[in-house]
Amino acid sequence: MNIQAQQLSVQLGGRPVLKAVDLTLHSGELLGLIGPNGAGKTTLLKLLAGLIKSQSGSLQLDHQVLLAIPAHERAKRIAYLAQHSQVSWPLTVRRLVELGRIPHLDNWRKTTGLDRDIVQQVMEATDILALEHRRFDSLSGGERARVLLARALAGEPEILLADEPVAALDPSHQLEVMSLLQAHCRNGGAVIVVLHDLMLANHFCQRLQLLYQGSTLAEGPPGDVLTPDHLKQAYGLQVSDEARIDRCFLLPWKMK
Amino acid sequence: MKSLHSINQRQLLVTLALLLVLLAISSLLIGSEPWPMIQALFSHPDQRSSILALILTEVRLPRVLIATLAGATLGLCGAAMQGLLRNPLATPGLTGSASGAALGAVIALYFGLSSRFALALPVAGMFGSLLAMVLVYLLAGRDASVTTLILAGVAINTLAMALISLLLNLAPSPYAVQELVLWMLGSVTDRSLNDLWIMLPGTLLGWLLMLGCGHGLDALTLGEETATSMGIGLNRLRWQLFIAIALAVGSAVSITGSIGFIGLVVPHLMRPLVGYQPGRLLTISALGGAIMLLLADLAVRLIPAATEIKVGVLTAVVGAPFFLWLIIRSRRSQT
Repeated sequence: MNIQAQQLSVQLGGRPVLKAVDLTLHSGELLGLIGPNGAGKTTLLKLLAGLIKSQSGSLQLDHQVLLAIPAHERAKRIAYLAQHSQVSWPLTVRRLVELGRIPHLDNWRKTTGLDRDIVQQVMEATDILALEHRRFDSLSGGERARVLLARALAGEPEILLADEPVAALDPSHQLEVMSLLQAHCRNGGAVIVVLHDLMLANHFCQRLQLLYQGSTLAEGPPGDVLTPDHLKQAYGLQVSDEARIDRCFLLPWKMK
Repeated sequence: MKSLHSINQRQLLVTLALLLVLLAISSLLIGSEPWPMIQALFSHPDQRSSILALILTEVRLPRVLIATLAGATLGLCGAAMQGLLRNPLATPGLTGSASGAALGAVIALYFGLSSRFALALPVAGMFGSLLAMVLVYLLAGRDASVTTLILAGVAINTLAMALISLLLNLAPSPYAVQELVLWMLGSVTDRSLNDLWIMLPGTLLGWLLMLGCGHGLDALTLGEETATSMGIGLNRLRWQLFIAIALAVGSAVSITGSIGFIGLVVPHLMRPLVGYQPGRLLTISALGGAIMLLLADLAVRLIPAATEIKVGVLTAVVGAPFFLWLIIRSRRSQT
């Protein structure tokens, strides 16, 4: 499996949001999209999810034009975890995770034993079995994030596109979610994750792509992307020397 | 635990279905005038069967079947609309489809189209319903807040009512006015099997289209973008539901007149029973709607009044306070 994107450009309301961005993704890869607010990370992710169209450029999944793949086929292969997920009705956790099976269901087919087994496995992996009968609106922020991630994983996607899945989570939940993404890649999947936390990006992602004002400023292994020059240019940050060891940032904690 | 959930769902379905059958049977036997039935039983055996049969097949049966169909339509449409707009206040009555259907039907009645061509009435109802719904939708926009939706609905409802009033105003004879007004109050009495046949095709087609939207409505729980990423074509879903609701509500309203609040109350009462899942709510809400309308129709037969109270009037009188309570509660949850 691979995604090949070339020269993607998007204008929203006459304003260029993405300018000739390239992107590649292969099986097993955890790719981090970083960059300041408004750099075009979410737009790029929505393009890859097939939610919006680019004005120019080409976007292919396994050498097939992405938008030429029927939506229901695409949905089986690519899952999208939105940034601010709203859940309109107070479903129980298990029901909500089961919704992730919808890409695999026909209009009239209900969930079968197989679907329920997959849901069970995903709930185990994301450690939310204890919550299964709780209503979604009664959960804490960290629990919600895990449940929504479980929903996305329940569709057994090859590619997971996650938009800031760790925003507003405490450090241990951040590590938990990032480990789940990492596990998805180890199992042969691929993940593109939008991150603001550069330490997490450095620690978990094999490759980073730094967007700035709609263009790619740098792309490659974390050590090559997170340089003082790039950070100064993208974020206007001055990086202190003590924070870097071996050209990398430290992740100051890990899970027990 | 998981099988427990599904069994509960099946039990709920069976319970409601049994309740519906029971109500339908009692509705066949109970009437505002108990005498004809008893007279028939004590009359000469030769006459008995014919009178009984006549009352049952010509009077009671159409009434019961039409009430069942119309009630199910209202419950189902309410559930579908609320799922689509992700808003517990969206109903056929509020989103214009009912008053649009009424306007269409009144136009058909007024210009005598229905006497020339039997299907003119439901077809006019369907077009009116669809037009009103699309207008409300365009006015309010997707993801509309409760307030915007209510405003848009009120605007279109007012417009439809104004046009109906205009037609009443211009009606050639007081008799025609009375006929139209009585029709609009909403009732399932004095309907024939013929009315049932007129109503049936649009109703069934509408139901089928709506019940096919279960997964789409479920996915919409997660928001429009996520639903799209799950392979749900939102435009298709919207139009399928609009057309389905227009078909079903148009058919129902053109035969029964406007019967309000069932589409609002029933999905709301049923929702906790299905764990708030919009897809599962559809069938349950349809059963609930049929039960509710049969109950209301039984009630109007048994309430002692000089003139029989129209069932649409009863549902409105009971439903309006419920609506107020819903608004107060949703205001409370917002603050």
